[in-house]
Amino acid sequence: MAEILREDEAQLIMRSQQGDVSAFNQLVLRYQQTVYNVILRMLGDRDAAADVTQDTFIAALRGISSFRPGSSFRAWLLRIASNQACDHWRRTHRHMQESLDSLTDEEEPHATGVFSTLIATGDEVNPEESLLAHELQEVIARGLQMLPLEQRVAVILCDLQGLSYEEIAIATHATLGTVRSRIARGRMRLRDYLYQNRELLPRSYRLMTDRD
Amino acid sequence: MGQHSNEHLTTAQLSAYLDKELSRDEVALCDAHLQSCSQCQAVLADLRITSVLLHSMPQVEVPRSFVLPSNLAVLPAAPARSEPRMLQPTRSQYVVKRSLRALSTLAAVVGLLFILFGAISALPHGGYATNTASMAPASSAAGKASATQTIFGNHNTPAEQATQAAQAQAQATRAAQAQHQPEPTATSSTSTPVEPQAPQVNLPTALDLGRPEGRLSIGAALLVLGILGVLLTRRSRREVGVP
Repeated sequence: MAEILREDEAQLIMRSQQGDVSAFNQLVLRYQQTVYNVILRMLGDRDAAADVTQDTFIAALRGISSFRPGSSFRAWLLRIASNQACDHWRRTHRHMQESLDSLTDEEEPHATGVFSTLIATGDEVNPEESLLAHELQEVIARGLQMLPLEQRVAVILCDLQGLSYEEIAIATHATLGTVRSRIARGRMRLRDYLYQNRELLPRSYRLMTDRD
Repeated sequence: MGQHSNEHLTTAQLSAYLDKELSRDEVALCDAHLQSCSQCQAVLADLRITSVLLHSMPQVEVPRSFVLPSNLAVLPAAPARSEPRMLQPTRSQYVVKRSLRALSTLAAVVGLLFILFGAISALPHGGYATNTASMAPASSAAGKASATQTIFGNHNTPAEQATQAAQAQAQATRAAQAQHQPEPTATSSTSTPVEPQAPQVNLPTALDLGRPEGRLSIGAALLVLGILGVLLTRRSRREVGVP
């Protein structure tokens, strides 16, 4: 099934490269949700995300001839998307410095756990708590936007979109080692941010932590 | 890696361990260390919670379709929005324009310098002109060769002058000898094989840098060209306003 899908995608890409916009639009329909969500999580603004998503697909169509068949189209497309989103962010936030820079710069291997006190209780599982409360979603979204751009992109692609490190490396034009370190740093910063807002975290983590 | 299992793991290792993105050796190392280290276990738990919270963020529905109009590819230069990104193809043009402007400025300055030097040496006792003249080799046989030298006469080192004088002498010898000697022998001690020189072009005085008139006219030409270039590539007010 996945094989058929991939073959079909290769066909669509080839036709797009020959100037077939309707073939390209099928790719748009297939990826617009992913692209829009990545950009939305990066920018935190729905209107801006919609505009940048549209620009991404326009840029992708114009640059489709540079796509190498056989490589990951999703990673290629998300590279354009994250570049566009970063450009937009820099244009609109030129005056703002990375506000989380003041938080710990965790390259030290002796980081300690902060959530341990919170996870201890968790015997009774409240199914409503497994769904993220709206407030918590807001906090996470805000926390993401406070990450330095490179860490933000890496964390979003990894934890929200489920890309492999290799795909993230392609999408962000970085080495695997860099991807690994960006994801780790981003997660640690987010952890600190979430800990500052721990009253919003669900009481029970057992359900989630046992899931994998 | 050379890391011992009793050393604490880095957050990068723990984070990649969580994502199952470690090599088999590193996984073994982490497993061994995590068994006995509550501190690293706690960090791993934190990373896991953070990751799980992020994973649980809902996918947002697209507000509209982003399908492109079918005529877009035909008119690639017509952007839907006036985003600065759409203006980006002009960036390379801008670079070319800027370097042209710089070149023109340079040409104008060099032209001015030439005019200045030309004017100075045109004076009755202009040291520059007499220097050049005196530096020209006095060898009478090298009459033709001296023309080349005076063009950039002031750059010649004595050694070069000697070689050129020798070449000129060789030419003179060759001219004097009969034609049935195919390989002319250089008479001077600097016996580098002398190639027959290309016929000398007698430059018009207006182009001869060795003469003040030449420097003046070439300087003027460069100055005019430079000013023209600067005027043509001058940045417009509108361009400055674009981010």
